[in-house]
Amino acid sequence: MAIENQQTAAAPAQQESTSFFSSVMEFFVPTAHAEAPEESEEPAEEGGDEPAEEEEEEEEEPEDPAPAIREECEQKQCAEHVHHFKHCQEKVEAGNGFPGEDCVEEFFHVLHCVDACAAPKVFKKLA
Amino acid sequence: MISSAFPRLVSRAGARAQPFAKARFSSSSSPNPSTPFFASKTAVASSTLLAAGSLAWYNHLYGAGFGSLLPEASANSAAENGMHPTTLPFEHYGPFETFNHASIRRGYQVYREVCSACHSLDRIAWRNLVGVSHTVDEVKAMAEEVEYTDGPNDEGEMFQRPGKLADYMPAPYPNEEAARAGNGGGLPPDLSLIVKARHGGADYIYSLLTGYCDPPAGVKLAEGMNYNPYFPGGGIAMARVLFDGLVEYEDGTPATTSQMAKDVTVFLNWAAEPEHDQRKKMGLQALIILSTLTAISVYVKRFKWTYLKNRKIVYDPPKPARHGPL
Repeated sequence: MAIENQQTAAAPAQQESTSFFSSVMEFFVPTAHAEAPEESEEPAEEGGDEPAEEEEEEEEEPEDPAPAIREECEQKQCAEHVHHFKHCQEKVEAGNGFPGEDCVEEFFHVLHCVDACAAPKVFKKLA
Repeated sequence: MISSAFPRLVSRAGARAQPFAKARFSSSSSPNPSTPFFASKTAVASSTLLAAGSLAWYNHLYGAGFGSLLPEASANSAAENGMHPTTLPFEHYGPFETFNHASIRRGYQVYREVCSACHSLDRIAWRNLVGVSHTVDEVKAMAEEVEYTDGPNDEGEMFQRPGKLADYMPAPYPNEEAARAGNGGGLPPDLSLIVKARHGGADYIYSLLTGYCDPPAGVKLAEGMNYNPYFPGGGIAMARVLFDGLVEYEDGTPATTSQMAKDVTVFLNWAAEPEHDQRKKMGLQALIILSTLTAISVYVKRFKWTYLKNRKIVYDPPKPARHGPL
């Protein structure tokens, strides 16, 4: 049902692309389609109400895949950066850092590593 | 005067230089009494001393090191620049890829239900959504829910009417002062062109929306500020707004934080670049036309040159004369 609805939403965009030669002609001689796409859009609205039933079934809160994936990245690929970051955190929080010291740079190194590691995995799970 | 005198001056200078040149390359070791001061060893030593001394004095005054001679460049700290976002695998990033239009539709829902409470979208009209994310009737229905001031009518008075396709998206605040007053002094920027207006583009928007976290040790935030590593400086007036299950997607997609952030980023990317899909289509058309023309020109060249390239020039030497010279 979800897939069906996506297709109908994207339908008007597909409709514009007719044959190649007509679109090449369109490139030189622009034509305006005023009301044309409207007809085929009618069925789109019918499909609109149906997914409501599905949502009732899955009442529980959806779970974000990102935190778990990031956690795993922190433990595996980025363990070294996390180690340095934790070391800095302990030092600064204990008051042993130089005046005005913060752990932003260490934190950015962790983030840089985790983002690169997690981004493709997270996006694979997103619609 | 000078121009006429110049050749004479040059020839005179040359004449004067000659004895010096002779003296320089002469093998005699005795010092020539006519050697000028600048050729002496004393001059070499004293000028070297002057150069080294001035450098030492400069370093004493303005700080040591070669760097003090260069124009001053104060590098911002990493925190001041903000965390640079990673390139994310958005579907529309390829050279021939279109936007994910289902994502635009969901992203519009997130904008409408979440972002539009504070952020305006001034440059997008209802009609822009037609054929991109919604059908005409859907957009008409959405526009009619909003009241717009129109007029003046026959009596010269302004009146309220339901929205039309040609109306622009309603703004949450009437002016900048109202927006600042409603957000603790911070101005929520207009989102129409935000993807183009920020370094990192869509990657930045997604990273910012999902990047809220506890500040690392030693970071001091101003009152009412939230920590976000991607925001330059770290302190951002906007708090985290996206939480799992905040909206309910009509197509049944689980509305996780990452999903909503991605959808609204794609929607805002579309809002900033509505011509995006058409642009890439035209790019491909241009590629086809140019490659076709290249192929035709190569063919025509070969066709026109065929008879020249296949021509064989034969030299038929004249036969030797039957009667040689006698």
